[in-house]
Amino acid sequence: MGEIRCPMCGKSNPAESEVCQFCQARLIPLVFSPAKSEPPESVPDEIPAGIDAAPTGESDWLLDLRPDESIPGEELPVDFVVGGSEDGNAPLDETHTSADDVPDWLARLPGEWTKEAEAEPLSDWLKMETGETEQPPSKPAEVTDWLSQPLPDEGQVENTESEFELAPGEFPSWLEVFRPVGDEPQTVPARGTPESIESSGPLAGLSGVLSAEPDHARPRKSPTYSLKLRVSANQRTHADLLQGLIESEGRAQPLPQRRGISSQHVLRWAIACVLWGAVLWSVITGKQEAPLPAYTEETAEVNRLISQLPGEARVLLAFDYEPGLSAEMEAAATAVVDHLMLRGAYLTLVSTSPTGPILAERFLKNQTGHHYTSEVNYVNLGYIPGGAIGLLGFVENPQRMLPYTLDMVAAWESEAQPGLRALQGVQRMNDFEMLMVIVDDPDLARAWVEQVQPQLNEPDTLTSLVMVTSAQVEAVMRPYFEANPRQVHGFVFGLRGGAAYAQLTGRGELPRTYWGPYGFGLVVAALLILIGGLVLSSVSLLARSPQVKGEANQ
Amino acid sequence: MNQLELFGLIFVVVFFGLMLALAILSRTRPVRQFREIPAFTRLRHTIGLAVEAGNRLHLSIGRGKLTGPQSAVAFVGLTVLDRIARSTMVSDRPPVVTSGEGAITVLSQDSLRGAARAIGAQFDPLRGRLTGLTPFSYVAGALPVIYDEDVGANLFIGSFGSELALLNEAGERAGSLTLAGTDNLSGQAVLYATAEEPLIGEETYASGAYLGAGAMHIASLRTQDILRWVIISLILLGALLKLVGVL
Amino acid sequence: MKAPFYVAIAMAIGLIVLLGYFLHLDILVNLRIVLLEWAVILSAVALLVGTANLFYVHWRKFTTAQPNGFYSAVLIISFVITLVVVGWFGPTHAYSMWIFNNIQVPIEGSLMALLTVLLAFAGVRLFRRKPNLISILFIGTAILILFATGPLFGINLPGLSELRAWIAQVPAVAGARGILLGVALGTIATGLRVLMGADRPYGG
Repeated sequence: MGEIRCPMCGKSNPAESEVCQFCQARLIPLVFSPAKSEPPESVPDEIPAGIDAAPTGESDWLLDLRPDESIPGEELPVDFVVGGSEDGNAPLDETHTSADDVPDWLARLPGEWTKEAEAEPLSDWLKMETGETEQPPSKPAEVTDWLSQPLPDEGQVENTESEFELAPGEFPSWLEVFRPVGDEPQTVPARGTPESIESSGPLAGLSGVLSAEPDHARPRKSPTYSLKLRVSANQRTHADLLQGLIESEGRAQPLPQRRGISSQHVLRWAIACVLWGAVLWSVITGKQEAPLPAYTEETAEVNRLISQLPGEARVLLAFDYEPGLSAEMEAAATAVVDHLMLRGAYLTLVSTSPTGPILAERFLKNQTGHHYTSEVNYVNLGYIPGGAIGLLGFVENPQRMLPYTLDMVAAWESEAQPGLRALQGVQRMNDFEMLMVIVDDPDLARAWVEQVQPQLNEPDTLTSLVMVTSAQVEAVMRPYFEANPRQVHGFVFGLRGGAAYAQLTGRGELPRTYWGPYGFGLVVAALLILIGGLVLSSVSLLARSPQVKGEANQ
Repeated sequence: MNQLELFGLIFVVVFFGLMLALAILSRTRPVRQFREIPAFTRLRHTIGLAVEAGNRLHLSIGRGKLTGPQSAVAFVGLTVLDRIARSTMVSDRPPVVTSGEGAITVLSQDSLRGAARAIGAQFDPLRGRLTGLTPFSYVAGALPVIYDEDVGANLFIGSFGSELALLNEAGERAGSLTLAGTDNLSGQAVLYATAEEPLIGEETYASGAYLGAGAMHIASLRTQDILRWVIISLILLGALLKLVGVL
Repeated sequence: MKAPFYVAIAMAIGLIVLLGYFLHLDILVNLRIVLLEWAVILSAVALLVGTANLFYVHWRKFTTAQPNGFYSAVLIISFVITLVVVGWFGPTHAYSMWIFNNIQVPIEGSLMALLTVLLAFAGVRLFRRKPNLISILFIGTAILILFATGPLFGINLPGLSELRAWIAQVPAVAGARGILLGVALGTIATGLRVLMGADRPYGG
């Protein structure tokens, strides 16, 4: 056959194709070898009638993966059931299906593969075991090794058996006991022989006469036939193996025990101890004092912009980081926000993260030396729900999106109320003198820049956009800073940036405290990776080389 | 409409037109084979093994918000969920889905319900779970699923940051296969070092096409390829013009 | 019959929002704003639904005596206490802040510390797991950045800072841009598929 039809789209493909050229559906079904099984957790009671088990659009390879027999409620033909046919003959291959055997959901699939499969002949040994000759079963897509081995045909089986056949007289006595009664040779005497003596009628007692009663009228024990199949040793082995497999399916398998302490565990613990130990030692002893890093252009730009802010400037401060990264972010932002507070800026706090508003409160409470109080020097407007869309909504109409503070106080100025001092005169984003975003996530940083930019691009806008980011955001943020015109007017990244800013302003205790241990930890981590990696790969290479030599010798 | 918006609209319209044209063409012309991505080959194999062995599949769709740019990769995760749920829902252990965002959790439950309805299996709404709202609480909530629920394979397809390393590590320690893809840059850097089968860059978005989710997925993948080459050409052209002083 | 209805709604709303972004017609822009506000509200409601789901999952795990149900009990108790304290006193009250500062921040910080160890461990194993040129480049760059980011015991190696700056500004940015372009294309493709009804992550 030169072509094979796709069961999904119905188009013709070359016979050797594994997947459809049109829709990529798999043309040749996969068969997986059985592995351990576990007791079912929940099995539905029944399938509602008429439910399509093969939904449209499902690809072949997925359909093939579904175990046919596990579909509950599916009415399977009797001879399809693994474990034997109706008359209790030997079990067949699980994939053996005839036209009637195909489940409904499979039969509904378009295509011809089932018909083609049916045309494949059944292995000889299977024919013999099932006695099936009328309807050749389908050939499985893949068969296990032992099934694919050439099997002896009937003639060979006969010959094989005849080689081992013993003469009746040679049977040992213990074996004779097992001989079925029906196997005993019938000893009906031949007519006319001297041994045949008439036992009834007038000729009773005479030998060599015609019998008065026909043979079949005489009472005798009915013959019995052996139930023992005539199978070769090879077939017996295969059958036993198959039976073992089937029985093991229903047997509860012990759960695999989790491995105890391995070399990987030891390595993990060693790395953790070295890394944490180094940082802890550095923090406790304070011996790793190091000079703060030099500031860079983007950091200096932030400093310049804050220095140029007018007194009592309105600044929108977004706290968009997670508690897990609060250590890095607080160290990066401390000196910058401290500078803002020194300038007496009024702060409006927002966040697109549910934990952001609380992190903002925590941050401001840790800024000792400034007496910023809620609803006087700063306003916490809370959480902006809805991710980027929510952010867009806030940028376009902040009053509508967040009308109240975190303590449910009306925040914005209106005809009915004066509003809070930090937001007086602010109606839209352009009314803030500065937007500062403290952010740990590259996607969030991008979202802020992209949503805020259209507002900042409006003519006569003097609002600047400044970012304080995690070190991992640097690569994303830099193109916005280097663009012409700048989309981000300045940024401070990571602890390094925070420390550089602290050096610039001469303030900010947190980055100074962290800088030494941080640097020491980085060096230890780098050395660990370098030395550990070299040692591990050397050990691996050494372990591999004897194996390679051994294989080469073989 | 400013110049940038006009350019954006044209780009979207061209993208749409190309997708449609390629989808129509694929009905009459044979589709060329995709390049081999080992992760998907292994995924197919793993799904089969998990179904046969009665192991559970764990799909994590990440913490990308439905109302943000990360929704796209979350939709990819939902497409993968739909594909595997139809195959594994009737197995001994139906798949379990975790996510770190409320709306995505609701959608994952909806996908599971749809798959269950299509094949007549029982639907348990608690198979779709929200495990935490911050990155680390989400990971902390997903770890017990990996360790305690006899998971045979973990698929992490969605928006993840560097916290993905914790999930990969847990999967490895539990002895299950991990396949992961994310749109996040930090997440991808971490993936390369920690995952058995990482999906880097836009490979995650090809999941639907590689899992046979339909002609439109294939057409969109072809369109991405075409437009990628167009963008590369434009970048090179721009650089060249800049070099010679025209721009 | 429900599916086509859902698809029609999704397609119509998607189109309105998309066109409202590009075409500044009053009706489109107003419709878009209203729809986006609905989306934000639904998103907030979904957050509550998700939280309820989280609670119920652990409630069932605890009540059906599943493995490690003890941890579910801890979660349920913590959940209820936090809900009561923050609901009663407000999110900025000292009690609420105490819970946040002394429980949530340290736990998440610890997981971050664990992540640091895992990444170092992954770096050590990378040579063995993927012994190829890319891995060597990957680890080499990571080590270089680690050395150059910190103070390095006050030693100033000539050229190291410049090399770090070059890597951060040229190859890293170029790679990030390339990946982001691919991601953007994938995002557009996924969005258009949803808009066309080819992807339907809704309505079952």
